[in-house]
Amino acid sequence: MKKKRILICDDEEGIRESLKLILESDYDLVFVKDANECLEKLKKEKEISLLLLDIKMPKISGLDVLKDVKSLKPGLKVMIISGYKSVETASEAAKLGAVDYILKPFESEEILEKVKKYLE
Amino acid sequence: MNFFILSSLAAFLLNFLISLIFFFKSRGKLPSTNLGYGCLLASVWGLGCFLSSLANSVSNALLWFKIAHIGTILTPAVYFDFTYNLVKKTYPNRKIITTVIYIIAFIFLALNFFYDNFYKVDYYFNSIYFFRCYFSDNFYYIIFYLIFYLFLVLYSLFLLIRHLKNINPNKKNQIKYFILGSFVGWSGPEGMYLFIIFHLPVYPYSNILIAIMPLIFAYAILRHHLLDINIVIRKGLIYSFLIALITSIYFIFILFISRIFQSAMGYSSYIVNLLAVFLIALLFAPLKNKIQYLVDRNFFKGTLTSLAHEKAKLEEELRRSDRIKAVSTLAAGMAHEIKNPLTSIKTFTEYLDKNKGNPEFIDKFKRIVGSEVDRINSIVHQLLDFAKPAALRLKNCDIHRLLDETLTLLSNDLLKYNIKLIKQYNAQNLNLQADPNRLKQAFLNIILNAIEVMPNGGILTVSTDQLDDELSIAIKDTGKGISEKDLPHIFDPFFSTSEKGTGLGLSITHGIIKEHNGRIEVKSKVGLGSEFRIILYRF
Repeated sequence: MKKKRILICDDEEGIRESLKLILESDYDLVFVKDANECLEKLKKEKEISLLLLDIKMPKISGLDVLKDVKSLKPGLKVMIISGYKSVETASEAAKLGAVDYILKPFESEEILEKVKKYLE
Repeated sequence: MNFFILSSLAAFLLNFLISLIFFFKSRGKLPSTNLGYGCLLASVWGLGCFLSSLANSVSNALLWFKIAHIGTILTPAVYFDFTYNLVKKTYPNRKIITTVIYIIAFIFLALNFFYDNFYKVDYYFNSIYFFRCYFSDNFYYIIFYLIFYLFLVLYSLFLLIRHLKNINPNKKNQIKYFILGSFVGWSGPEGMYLFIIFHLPVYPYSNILIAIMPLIFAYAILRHHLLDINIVIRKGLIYSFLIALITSIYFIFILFISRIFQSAMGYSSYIVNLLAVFLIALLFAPLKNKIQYLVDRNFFKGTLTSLAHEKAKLEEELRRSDRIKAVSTLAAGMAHEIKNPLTSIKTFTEYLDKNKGNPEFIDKFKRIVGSEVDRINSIVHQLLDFAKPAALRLKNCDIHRLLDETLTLLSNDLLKYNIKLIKQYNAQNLNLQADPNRLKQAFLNIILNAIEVMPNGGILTVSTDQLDDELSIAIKDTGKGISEKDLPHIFDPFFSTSEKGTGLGLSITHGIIKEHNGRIEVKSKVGLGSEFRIILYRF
């Protein structure tokens, strides 16, 4: 069976490498470093099933990328990864269509479980 | 000499003095210059009333009273003009409205001087004041004037109050003073006119209020921008009461002495009265100081300098609230900054067992975990610098030398990124007291940012300029510029748009410059570059 493709958008090598460690055996991973690259990739690559998106800013404006992604690909499942435990940001992300909100530092089990759940 | 004359004199002198301060300090800036004119007109009113009361004939008294009314008639128009300039709203037809108002005011002014029936003059000798002049009994004149007057004053107040909603707290406090001052000043003449209309015999108290008004204005703008309004009201009321009390005692004493002299010698003597005034003035100065000291100690828990202390306290509170805000931003930023490396370290250690035999993994582990630990270490160091800066070690510094030393440190980077350096050192005689190491750190952070935004070359301009006691150091780049959205946040801790930065550099720089009692101004245009201007004061 062909592995499902996940797009991972994070500006930090450490996080990208960590997600690679966790997910690479089960999924086909594509990495981008910032929002622009992310949108470019989404335009080109047709077969992306899930987007793991890092939200850096504590403010709602950090979710602008999510808005852009959703207007480009309304059907795409997006999981937000963030260092901020903020109810407002989480609920705003849900409103904008994110399927989940994962807090850093995350557990590898949690990532695997959730990714599996949304890709079934 | 009676209280009306004295209060007129006080209104004249105080308003004149304050108007000079406004003219001198405002250096042609519009709202303050307007206010200067307003106070000058109030002083004309005071002078007119004063000389009118001393006049020895009805015609002289009337002439001075007409002069006094130049102030009364023009002040509302100037006040209105001032308010317009202060709220800085571009109302439609603003110029036309202002011109029309000035024209109406000047028509009243012409009536004032050339239309003899404009005033009715009563004169009483042996009364509380010598002459009483007021607007004609002609009902229409008074009503028309009063409508004009009330419209200007109330509309100005309305503009000011509405303006309160849209401004920052410091400015808000200033506007509150204006409203308080205006209320005190205007309630005098307003009330007087109403009493005149209804033919009520009321003491002309407006002079006292007109004398207090400029004091409130001056106090608000020139000295206590940040002081809470309650302190001014409390202090104003208590001092007014105190002055009234002291003056009353003073007059009773003079009257008492002159009566004693008269009953002893059988006639009244001006020389004796003057001597009494002189003597009592001498005796009163220490007594007044004593009373003032007691009032200050009991009501304000301090001496005359208590206001300065209160101001300093308020400023400190503001700084502290800024700091609390900074710390909470810091905490949020730190959470993110430290959680990222923690996440990597955690995941890599978790997968260590599984990948023990994989040399590629081991290499990555060493590289990534190592650099993430370094990163946490660097964040903690910077944070300590930010949260608990060492005390300033002030020395006589040559700013140009500090700039040169900083630029030397970065000369390799300038070469590497093909950045041309232009130095324009225009300032001279730089005996600035500053902490050289911390200032160098501040310069370094800004210049590092400038270099970072010009990876493909550009021009870095470092210039210094001097104006009076201000020294400005400008660092300009031709990089990508800062977007309008980001500009208000660049000094926030952990705000960063670059991948490399922690976002602490500029906030540390900001802290250093603030500690030196200076400020930083930033101008930036996307695509053209940014300019950071540090302003320091020589002290």
